[in-house]
Amino acid sequence: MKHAGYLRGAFVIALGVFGLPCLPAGQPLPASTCVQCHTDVKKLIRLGWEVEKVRGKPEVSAENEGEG
Amino acid sequence: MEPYEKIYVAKAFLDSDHGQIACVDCHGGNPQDPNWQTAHRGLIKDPTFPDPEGACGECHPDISAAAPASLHYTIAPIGNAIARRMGPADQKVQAAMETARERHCSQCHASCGQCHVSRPNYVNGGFLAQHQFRKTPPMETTCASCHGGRIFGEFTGLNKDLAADTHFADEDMTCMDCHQAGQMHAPAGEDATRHTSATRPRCEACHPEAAAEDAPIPSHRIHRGKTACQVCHAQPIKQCYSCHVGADAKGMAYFKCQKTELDFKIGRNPHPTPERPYTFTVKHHPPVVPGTFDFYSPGALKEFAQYPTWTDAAPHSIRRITPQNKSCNNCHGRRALFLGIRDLDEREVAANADVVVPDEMIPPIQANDTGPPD
Repeated sequence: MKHAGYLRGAFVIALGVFGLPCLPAGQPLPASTCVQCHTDVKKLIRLGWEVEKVRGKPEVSAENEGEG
Repeated sequence: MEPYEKIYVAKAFLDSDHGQIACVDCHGGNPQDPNWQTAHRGLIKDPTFPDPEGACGECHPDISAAAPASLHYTIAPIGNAIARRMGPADQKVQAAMETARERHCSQCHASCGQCHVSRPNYVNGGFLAQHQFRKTPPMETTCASCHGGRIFGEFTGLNKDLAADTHFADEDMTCMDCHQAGQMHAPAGEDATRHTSATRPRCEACHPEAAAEDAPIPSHRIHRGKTACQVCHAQPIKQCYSCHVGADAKGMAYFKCQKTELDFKIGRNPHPTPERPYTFTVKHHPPVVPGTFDFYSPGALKEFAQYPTWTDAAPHSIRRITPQNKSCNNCHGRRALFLGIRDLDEREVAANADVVVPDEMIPPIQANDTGPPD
């Protein structure tokens, strides 16, 4: 019983010092593939080439005339 | 912008308040999928349109509830002008015109995200600042994207031989100094326009002495309530004529605007109100003609004569001294400054009957004019 009391105390102190490990507040979010790609310029450039191959370059109509 | 620049997210964004929200919460998609093609399935590019409350409402409830009824969100005045020129129409015509409106007009609506996070869709988007939110949008990449054809050029002095607006050139003001959040986010009534909105910028808000009964400048006292401020203080603005819209063989939307020119026309105010009691206002010609939408529905604007094609302008070419205010007779007696029948295409004479200024209404030459000549 005495050991159990020590353990409970240690757990409470650990919570105070380190916080609840599952709470995201103030902590960086776990890296998703969104973040991994969209914060990496080299990856985005390479992916941009791939996207262009699949979708083509964005176009505007050649029939536009005058100021719009 | 290079394609990667449009979607590059700064690490600084991840440290910001908005960066604490998981990407998937706003944009959907599958963050666990390493294949970009399948990971982006169901992606919501702009989570703030058409329902900003879902994306922004938790933290910005008032703004996100009001903004969908704002002029920038609905661009209702364009739809209203088209509807008036159409009159009652059968379902087939209405459906065709709805396609046209969606394909052409609606491209310019502004959502929360298209001002505060990215450039508007109209210019193919791209983050303003690597996904960091901008409380005050930068005018050169947001406002100018949709208002670059006329307003931005006037304001910043891009029009040949014309000076920039004094508010920009001499006071370093930006669009948002006059068009503040209270106006931009305000809900507008169904018939509201930028000229009737209660939250519109007012010259007299910053220049109360000019609008006062005992204004220190005699011209302000003489013209008070008769002429809109811009009649004396605006330079020529861009007028557009005869635009036709349609879709090419690839299905891509196009416009063909036959003529644009810098011109200055003073017209009558057809519906004076206590708020806008003026006899004379500056006029702008939108590029509409009876056949503008013929690609979608020939003859759809069958009530073309019911709505003027010279409408109140909001010139952004303001100067203290302009050619017409250098002296009394630079304006008085100057027929060419005032909109006349000869300025009209024959198809628009009836539409502008209440707007043209007949000879007898041209202010008479002042014999005692002591101001400088032009």
